Amino acid sequence: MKKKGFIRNLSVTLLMACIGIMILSPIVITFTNSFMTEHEIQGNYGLVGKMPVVTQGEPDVFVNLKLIPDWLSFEQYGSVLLETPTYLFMLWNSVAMVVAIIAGQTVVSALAAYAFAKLRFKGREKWFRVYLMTMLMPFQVTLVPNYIIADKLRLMNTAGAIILPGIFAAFGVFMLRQFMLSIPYALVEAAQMDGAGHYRIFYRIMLPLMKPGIAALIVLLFVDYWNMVEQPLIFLEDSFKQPLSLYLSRIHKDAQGIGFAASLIYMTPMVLLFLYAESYFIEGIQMSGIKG
Amino acid sequence: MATELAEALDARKKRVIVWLSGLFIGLLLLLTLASNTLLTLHLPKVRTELGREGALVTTWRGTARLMPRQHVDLSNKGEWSISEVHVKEGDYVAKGQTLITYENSAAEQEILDVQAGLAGQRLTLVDLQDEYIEAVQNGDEMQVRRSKRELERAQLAIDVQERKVSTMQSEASDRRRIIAPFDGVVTVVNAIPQLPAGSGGPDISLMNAQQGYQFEILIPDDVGQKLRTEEKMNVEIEREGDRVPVEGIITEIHPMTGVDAGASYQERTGEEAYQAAASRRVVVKVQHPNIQTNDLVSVEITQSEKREGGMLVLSQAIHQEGRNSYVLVMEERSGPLGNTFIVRKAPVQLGGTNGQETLVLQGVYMKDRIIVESSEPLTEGQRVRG
Repeated sequence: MKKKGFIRNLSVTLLMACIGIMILSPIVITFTNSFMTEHEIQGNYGLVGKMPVVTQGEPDVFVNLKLIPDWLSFEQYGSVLLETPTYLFMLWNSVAMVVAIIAGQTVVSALAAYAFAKLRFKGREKWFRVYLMTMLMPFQVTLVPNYIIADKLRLMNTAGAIILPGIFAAFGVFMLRQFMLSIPYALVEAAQMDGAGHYRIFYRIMLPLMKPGIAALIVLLFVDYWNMVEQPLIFLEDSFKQPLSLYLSRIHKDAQGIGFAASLIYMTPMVLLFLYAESYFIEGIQMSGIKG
Repeated sequence: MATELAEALDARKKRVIVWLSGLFIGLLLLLTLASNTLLTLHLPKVRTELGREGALVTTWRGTARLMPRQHVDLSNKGEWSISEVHVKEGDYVAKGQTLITYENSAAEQEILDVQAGLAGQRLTLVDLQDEYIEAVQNGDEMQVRRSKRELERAQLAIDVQERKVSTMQSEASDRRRIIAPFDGVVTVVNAIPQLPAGSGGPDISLMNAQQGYQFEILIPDDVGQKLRTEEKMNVEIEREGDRVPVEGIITEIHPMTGVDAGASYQERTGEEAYQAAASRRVVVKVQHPNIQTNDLVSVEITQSEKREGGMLVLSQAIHQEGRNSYVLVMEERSGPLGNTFIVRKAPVQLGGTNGQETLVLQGVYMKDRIIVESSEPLTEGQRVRG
């Protein structure tokens, strides 16, 4: 019995390890390859996209997946950070958009979630369902109306076309409402008996209790909007207004080294944010019952 | 206890992350703000200039050597030996002045022989006269008539002989010396005493002082096309370190294509040497008392051309692409990280050029910053630093 359990544990562990390696290997490769020289990277990946014609006697070629650089080089970082102002500028575009969206959506979501969770009004559940429906629709479905509205509001080719829909997205409301439902209503009632109004209840009681939920929301929103591609691609024509997520796709295959360094810098804010809000994030996800 | 420890560890981790994040953001911010400056250091450096309004002043310079307008070579027609040369090269001679004297003893001997023969014939004539007188006195009619015919025949022979002597003497007199056919200057003397005439080319060469000097010069078509015959041209003659300004008159203009400048050397302002594919051979007459053959003549032709709407651009800024010309213009674009300078290619329509500056008729404006020099070859759309 004990042996059977051991074997099962071992198989699960191996399976998990395999999955873990599969998930982690791109990150590890990106990290190590970002310290290689362009020459070394071209030697390893230069044949990507160049299909050999084996029937005509061309030798079969393989991509050399190399993990350890021959020479530790910061050439790629130098190229990205010192010679590519576009990259840095797009990074700040991303920061500006993501910060505005997160700030806006957090405020709107927290207030809306309080209303949907703790206020009692007629049609509350119906309205919530309607609001929730927008979240269920994929971006492509709402693209055309969003485009028309942005055009009417003269927001095309401005960050507003990205930020405004982002602020009023339903995901935050849903998540924070779920989180708020786990806070006993008795707290609201007690506060009301003490004479507190909704603003005081929200600000003094709910908000401090919602910290983990908000932290989780911030992390999820950051990941979501930091990686957005379709919205800026459609709403922003000028490349200098676009976020960093669009930069990576434009890196030429002859400059793959830059791609590794750029990717690593690109994901650093996400990693730092996650590490900072890790405990809140886990708690918030657990309490809201939402899994990423 | 365990919870407190975990919280302390978590707080410490967060502090580290905050520091790292701050450092990361600070570094990115710093690099972003300095990015334009950093990038600019790698950009090709260019020098720009604005076009200017004004007339295109074409200055063309050339040099040539003076040659006499009329020049004759004189030699002895017979094979006479040179007795004496009375002049030397550069001497001014008057019309009729003896230049060279010759001698030919054989010719003189021949004249003496002919003269001796003539004297003999005259004696024979005297004999015939005596015969005639005798026949008349004898009354021999036939003899008289015969003697008369003989006398006439002898008289004719003497006349022929006299003319021959006269001709020979005249020829000998002519060949004995060469005289100057006009007032002029001895340019070449090949004659050497005691040597036969014509042994080293013409014995003597003279130029006509009245006719003056001339020079030939090849002038590029774009400069030369405005010149007309009988037009005056200011030239300078260099003589013993002095530059003598002289007025020349254009006497001939001949169009030429693809010819070499030959001995004359022309240059354009701003260019080391310029040889036009199509040029004109211009002959200029010069008259001045203090000039000589082979004196160096400097010619400077200045022409100005102004077109409405045209502007002058440094020639080094003009580039060629096949048969089309273009200039590179530096455009300033305001960007989020400061202003950037981009290279734009502007096709232009050209007027004339003087080597240094070119007249641009269309394609650029006065405010355009035209790139005249760059640290490396440029392409359109490239960023540069001004």
